[in-house]
Parts: sequence; structure tokens; C-alpha cells
Amino acid sequence: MVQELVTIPQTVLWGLMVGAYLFFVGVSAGSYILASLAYVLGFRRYEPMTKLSLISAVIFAILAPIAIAPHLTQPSRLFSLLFVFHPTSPLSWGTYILTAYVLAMLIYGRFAFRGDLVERMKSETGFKATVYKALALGQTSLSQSSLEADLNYAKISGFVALALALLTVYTGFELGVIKAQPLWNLSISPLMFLLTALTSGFAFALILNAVARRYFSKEKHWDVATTSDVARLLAWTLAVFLVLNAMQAILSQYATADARFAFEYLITGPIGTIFVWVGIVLGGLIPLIIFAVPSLRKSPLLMITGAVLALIGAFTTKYSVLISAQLVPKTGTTFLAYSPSGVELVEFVGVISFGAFLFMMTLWILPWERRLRLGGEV
Amino acid sequence: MRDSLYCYDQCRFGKGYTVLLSANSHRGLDRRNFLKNAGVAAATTITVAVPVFGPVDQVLAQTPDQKRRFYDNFPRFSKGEMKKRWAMVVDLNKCIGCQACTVACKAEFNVPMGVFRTWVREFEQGTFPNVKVQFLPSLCNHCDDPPCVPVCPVKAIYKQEDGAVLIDAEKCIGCGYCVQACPYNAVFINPESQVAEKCTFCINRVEQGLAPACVQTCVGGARIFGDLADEHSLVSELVNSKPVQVLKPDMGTDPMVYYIGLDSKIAGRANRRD
Repeated sequence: MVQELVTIPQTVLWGLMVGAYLFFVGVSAGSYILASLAYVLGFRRYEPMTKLSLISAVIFAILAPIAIAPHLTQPSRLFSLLFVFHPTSPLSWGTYILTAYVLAMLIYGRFAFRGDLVERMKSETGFKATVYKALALGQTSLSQSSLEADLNYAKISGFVALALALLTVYTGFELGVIKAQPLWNLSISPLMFLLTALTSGFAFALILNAVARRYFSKEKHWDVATTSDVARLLAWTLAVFLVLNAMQAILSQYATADARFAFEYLITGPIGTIFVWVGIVLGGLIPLIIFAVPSLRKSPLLMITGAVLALIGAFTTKYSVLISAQLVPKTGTTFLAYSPSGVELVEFVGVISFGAFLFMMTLWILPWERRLRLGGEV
Repeated sequence: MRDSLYCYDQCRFGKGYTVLLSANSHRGLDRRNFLKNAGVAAATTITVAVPVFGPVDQVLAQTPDQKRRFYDNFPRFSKGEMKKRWAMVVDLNKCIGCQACTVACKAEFNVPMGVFRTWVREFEQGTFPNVKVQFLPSLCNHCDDPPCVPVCPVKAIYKQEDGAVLIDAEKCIGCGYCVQACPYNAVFINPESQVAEKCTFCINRVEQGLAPACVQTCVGGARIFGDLADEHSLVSELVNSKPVQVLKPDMGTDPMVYYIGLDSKIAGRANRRD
């Protein structure tokens, strides 16, 4: 039994805001993948979700660097990330991936929704009409050929944005390349990040779409069909995620002592309760049951509850893995403790509030309800 | 036209200013006039500015921030000597845990409270009467395959030709990636300068032919520093003749800090509850 008598103070460096950053990138990627299903991959069934999913993808991709930038101790040097490329650093890859991803999404949105913007422009006058014309970049034709051109460009830019959305698993590499932390240094880390991204993105898009169509649209009814379609996708992503967690649990028992201990500390340490009960059970198993049973998929309120739980679960698992690894001392025997400080909580609430503000502004300005089908039909 | 220009200035600002502006005003704004006025203006500025801004400048020069940049801005002071391999040997049979090295390093670099570039851990193993105590002086190992260097997004942390791993304090953005990547807890974010910092092997002293501060002050002679590429140096003799251990050899970092007499239970693995 080794006891440490003299040691140095250690702190948890990556806390709530880094967890928030990883989470927001994931939600953005998942939302965008849902948004691209209709026009890029051809699954027209998900078309009603496209616009709201795209809006949430863009907003979360903007919120992610806002969450992380104040965490840098030299935030004034933030832009040197863009001027210096270090090929071996996932953080460096991520700077360019995230920037290109936002730009590609904006281009995709411009082509996919030009028709709707033009239609809205026609029903407004004066300054408002000019705003919509500017958003449509001046091209106000609604002819068959222009809409077909829109569809083609949307497919190309959408495909590029989809590739970049999949590349946002760089966040998984960010943690995965750190061999000093055996809990992060797993081969399946990026895959786990991809699955939590899909889960959280789909869940958020489901909630946003259902609530917006029921309470804020002209028709004010539940969009049961699309909601249950997305719920089915969610059932699959949750199932795969839980299977991967089980795989990690089994393999870690046969791994090196450090890896085994790191995983055991995740389950049984201070973060253990949150990880197991909120992250896996409440945020994984229960939503899986809700989404997997076809008769339960008919109830929109139950779908929304399940999606909220899945969203909380995705955040909790990412946060738990991030924090628990840092609580284990790399050298010595003194374990660390972490709870988000008041400042971090205020930052978190602030970033989410800013996100809510962005949502309100975009949903007020952009015609998210209209569904002008690309290819000419309405 | 010229006269009317001066008349405007005289009229507007009153008599006091006319002395400065209207010297030789009957000749207007020619070169001599201009140089004279400019010279007077410059002299006035300097006479006024130095007493006002001088002390402020001196105060700024004395903040710990300025002092630290003097030591840590390595690209200005160190190009790295070729074909040297700086290494340290720590003889744990001689360490008495006096923490003089900890204090010397703090004093040398003005390291703030709560963070350490080098430190001496103390472990107790076993129960009475079968108990042993071990001291573990720890510092940055200046690894040959450092895990901190590839992950820095702005290339602020780098390894020199002579083996020292250094941080450019003017590039660091403080993301903490190197802090997370180091298996030995050697890197920290300095709360005063707000950039990443760690042991530098006292490279500024070493290049002047001095020993690092911790080595210089070690009471028991436990810390030995030298060039591993030189076969006649003391570090070479020790590494080649005695059984030496490193911390966490399985990490594949190839550390340049060798320990003599390191107990395997304590060698950085003592974090399991056994």
C-alpha cells in the first residue's frame, strides 16, 4: 500500500466548457447529417426536417468555438490557430474542418432554400423584401431550370458539407491521441464520438421540429410521421452506442492495468453515478425502449421526452469520460476532484442563452415553414 | 494666404500660443520655420513626456511578466547546440527530500504559488515495521519522443537539437493540450503569464556553462546533469555503468531523466488502490 506524503496540487484543466464544446460540435454534425438526408442522400422522407436541422447545425457549429475560446488562457491569440497548421495535432485539423464545415453548410443552405426565400420575398414589401432578396443573393427566378440548378448545387455543396460533418470526429481524435490517458486512448474513441453526435443531433432536431411545428407554425399540429421516422433512426444509433460501450467494458477487463483501472474508476468513481444512471440508463436504455417500440412512436410527447433524455445522456457520457480521466492522477496517488465552478456554470448558461437568441433570430427571419420542393413541385 | 493662415491660429488660440506658432511668421511656412517649430515641438514633447511616462515604463519593466519573458523567450536566446544530448540522472539513494531543488527552481524563474517546474514527491510504502520511504524528484523529462510536441496546435512547444523541449511563450494560446498529453504532469499553465510552462533544463544557464539551478543547489548531490553524447561526462558514466530506470517506460516517450534506485511500485504507477 503506497501512500503519498508530499505532493503538488493538480487541477482539472478541461472542464465543463470543453465538454460543452465537444457536445456542440457533435450536435451540429448530427443535425447536419439529418439535414442532408433529403437532398444529398435522396431520402425524401426526411425532407420536412431539413431546414430546421440545418439551422440548428449552423448555430451549434457557431456556438462550439464560442464555448471554447474563453477557455484559452490567451484568447487574443485565437486566430493564430488559423495561421499555423500542425499536421500532427487534432486541434489544428479541427480549426480548418470546423471553419470549412460552417461555410459549406451556409452554401448548401443558400442553394437548398433559395426558392423559399424568394417566395417569402414576394409576400413582403420594402425593407423586408430587400432582406430576403439579399439572402437569396439577388437571384429571384422560380423557373423550373433555376430550381433544378439549385438542386444540383445543393447536392454538391451538401455532399462536401456531409464529408466535413463526418470529419468532425476530430474531436474524438483530440482525446484519442493522448496516450497519457488510457480512458481516452482507445481505438473506438472517434467512433463513440460519432455515435453520440448522431444521437444528440437527431434528438435535438426531433425536439426542435416537433415543438416548432406544433406551437409556432401556421398549421399547429404534430408532425407524427417525420417524428417517428427520426425516432427510428435514433433507436438504431442508441443501440449501436450501447453496444460499443459494452464492448469497451468487456475489453477493458483484459487490458493493461492502467486502462482497466481507468474504466473501473469511470464506473465506480465520483462520476460513476452520473455516467451509469444518467448517461447510460436514463439517457441510453430508456430512450432506446421508447424509440424501439412502434406503438410508443405514435405519441409525439413520448418522442420528445425520449429525445430530451437522449440529449442529456449524450452530454453526460461525453462529460463523464472527459472529467473522469482527469480525476485519476497521472503520477502519484492523490486523486483529484472536480465540480464546475460558478464561473463555468454562468459561461455555460450564457453560451446556451446566446444559442437561444440565435435560434430566435433565425427562426423569425428565415421562412422555415415553407416547403418548396427542389425540382419544381410544391 | 500664408499670413491669413497664421492669423487664424493667432486669433483662435489666443496670445499664449502665438509665440510658438508665429515665430518668423512674416516669412510664412518655409523650411527654416518648419524645422524650428518642429524642433521646439519635439523638445517640448520630450520634456513633458519623460517625467510622465518614464516611471510608468520602469514599473512595467519590473512586473514578473516582463522578467519571465526574458528567460522564456527561447528563440531569441538559444539556437540549440548541435550534437549534444542533455540528460539528467537522479540518484534516489542520495536524495534526502530537503526540497532545496524545488525552491531553487522557484527562485530562478519566479514560478508562482501553486505550480511547480520541479518538485520532490515523498512516498511511504508498507506498514510498520516493514516500511520504507522514498523521495521522487520529478521534472520535465525532455523526452526523446515527447508526446507534448505533436499535439500543440500552434507549434509553440518544440524540441531543440540538443534535446531540450522548450515552450515559446509568445506563441502559446493556453489550450492546455500539452498539459493533458504529458504523462508526467510536467507541464502547467502559469497563472501569472497565462501560458504553458515547464522545466527548461535551465537552458539559459546551461548555455553559459552553468549547471541547472536544481543541480547546482542539490544538497545530497543526487541530481547530476550533463551531455549524454559525451562519453566522458558523469551522466554517461552513470547511465552506462549502473542500472537506471525511467518513469513510465511503456509510454514510449524515451525520457532523458534517469533514476538510480527507483522502486517499481512508486515509478509513477502508484495511482491504483492496491
